[in-house]
Amino acid sequence: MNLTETIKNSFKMMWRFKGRTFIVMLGLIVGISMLTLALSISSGTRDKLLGQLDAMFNANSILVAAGAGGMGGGRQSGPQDTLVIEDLRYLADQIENIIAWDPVQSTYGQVQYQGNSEKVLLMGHSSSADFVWHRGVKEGEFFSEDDINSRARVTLLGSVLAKTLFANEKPIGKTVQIKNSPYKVIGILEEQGVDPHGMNRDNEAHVPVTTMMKRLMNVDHLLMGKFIVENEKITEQTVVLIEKLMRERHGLEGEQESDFNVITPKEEIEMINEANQVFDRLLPGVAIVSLLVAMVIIANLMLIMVNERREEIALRKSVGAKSSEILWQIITEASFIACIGGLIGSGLGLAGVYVVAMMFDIPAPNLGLQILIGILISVAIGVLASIYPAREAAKMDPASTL
Amino acid sequence: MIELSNVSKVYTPGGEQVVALSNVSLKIDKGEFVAILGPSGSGKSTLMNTLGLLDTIQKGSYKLNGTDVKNFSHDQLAKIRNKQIGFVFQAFHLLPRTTAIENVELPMLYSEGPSNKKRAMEILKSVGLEERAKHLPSELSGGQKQRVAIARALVNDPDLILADEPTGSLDKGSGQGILELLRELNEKGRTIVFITHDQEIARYAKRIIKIEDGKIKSEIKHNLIQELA
Repeated sequence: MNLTETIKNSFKMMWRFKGRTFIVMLGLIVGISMLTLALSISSGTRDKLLGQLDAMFNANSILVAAGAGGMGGGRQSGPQDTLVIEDLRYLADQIENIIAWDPVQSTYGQVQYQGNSEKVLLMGHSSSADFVWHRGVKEGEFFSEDDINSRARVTLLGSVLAKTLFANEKPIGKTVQIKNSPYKVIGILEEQGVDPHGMNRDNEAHVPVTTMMKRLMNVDHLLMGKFIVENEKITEQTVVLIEKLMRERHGLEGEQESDFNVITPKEEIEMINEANQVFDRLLPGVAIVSLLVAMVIIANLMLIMVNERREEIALRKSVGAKSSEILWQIITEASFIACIGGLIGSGLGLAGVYVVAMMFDIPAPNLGLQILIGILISVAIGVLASIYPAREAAKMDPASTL
Repeated sequence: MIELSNVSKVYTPGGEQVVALSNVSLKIDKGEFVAILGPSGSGKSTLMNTLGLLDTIQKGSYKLNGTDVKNFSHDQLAKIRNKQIGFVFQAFHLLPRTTAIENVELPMLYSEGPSNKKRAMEILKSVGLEERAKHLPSELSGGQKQRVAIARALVNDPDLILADEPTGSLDKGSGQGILELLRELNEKGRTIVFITHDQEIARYAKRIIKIEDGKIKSEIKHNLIQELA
């Protein structure tokens, strides 16, 4: 029997015994759909986090945060009032590679409009923030330099907060109360969603950093500053220079710990990867175990199936089928079943992924690739699982069966 | 055509020795119509499996068409079964959910060259079932099923037809029809060997070989069969 005939014959047998075929297929459908779901969501979540990071904190940026100790996980220690706007202005003046900078201060506070109010994160930024943080306004105007210099009582609202306060009303031009003082809404911020730290960045209000420091917090210091460098190839040298100039300015000598932190995107990416590592290490294990289980189940089902088909197999042998022809028939049937099972499983898994992606706002994965991987894995499992049952079938002695 | 010399076969199911064939020597010429008659457990099925190359022999020799097949590989035996032997079983053994014509085609699937639907149809016509070609086994009567099985045995044009209790699952009327069909095939020159436990049925043959306890007891030739009847 040649290959085309083997395939044709296997397909016929599969089709004639649809029930039997479906039961063997079911194991794969469940296994592959779960696997597709888990892998897609894992990679989708990471892509989303890294995507956000890239938008907010790309390779040409450097953060300088107030306080000693490392950043990431709230490990800052010591006094937090060590960083001022003049530090940032000085660094920007001294270091040629720095082309833009933005001072940041923040606190929590109540924002109110008529009957509606919400306690949200309040951020103070400069008029450069739209460039420095890649986040402008989708409606209205961004802060002007005048707003910064005059400590203007103006605000930009995140879209979620705007919805909470104004419902269907137009917010721009209206006056909201921030910590019980009136602020004029001049714009709605571009949407950003939930950040890697779990904060919904659309549920916050921005004010000029000077307004934040003097009027809302009554402090002189900053939380942090962000620099944009012109040449990202020399970011590391720029970091070294920032550290040197800052230590000089703050009068730190020798072994004394710095009262500030310089952070580059490299470190932030490492943080995200670290958080994902648990999942990453666990998932392949879970996937391999579940596929092995699926394989054992399929092998068992195939074995039962071969046993049920003793008569057919014995008959085929009696009319001249070679053992190898029986072997290949069973393996071909298994690969077919596996291929279709993989296709259905990937389809169901991806349908699940789209539902989850919609519910949790995660990017949907590359459809073709996922299906291809699902089918390849299925066929591999199908073939591996059918080797033993197929050998048993090929070994069958027709004389004792017929 | 068939030449068995001193063939013995011993089974040891569960450690106990069962002698299925003991020193059997047998010669069947081309064009013969032979019945192997014996009660159950007499070794007639083993003899049939041996003749049909479904079972290998331990002692003695078997020449089929002048070739000693004792040391042939499984694949070589499969090829001989495919080309030179057609089987008819008591339980028909048609593939379920598979049409009559496709059942007839089955041996061609394992031969070289493409399967020949026209040939299968001609054979089905010769056993009187052309109109049932597209029917499934479950839609056929016992006699019709056995005719399909005979057509399947004939499709690769073998020299030898081996039938194991071909009427065993049939009522008397359809059983007679099958025996008449076998006789017809023999008259056209085909060598036919069938097994039965029923003396009445054995009488259709031109030669009866009686077997008991794995040994050939007696042989009755054609002229004597006529006298028995």
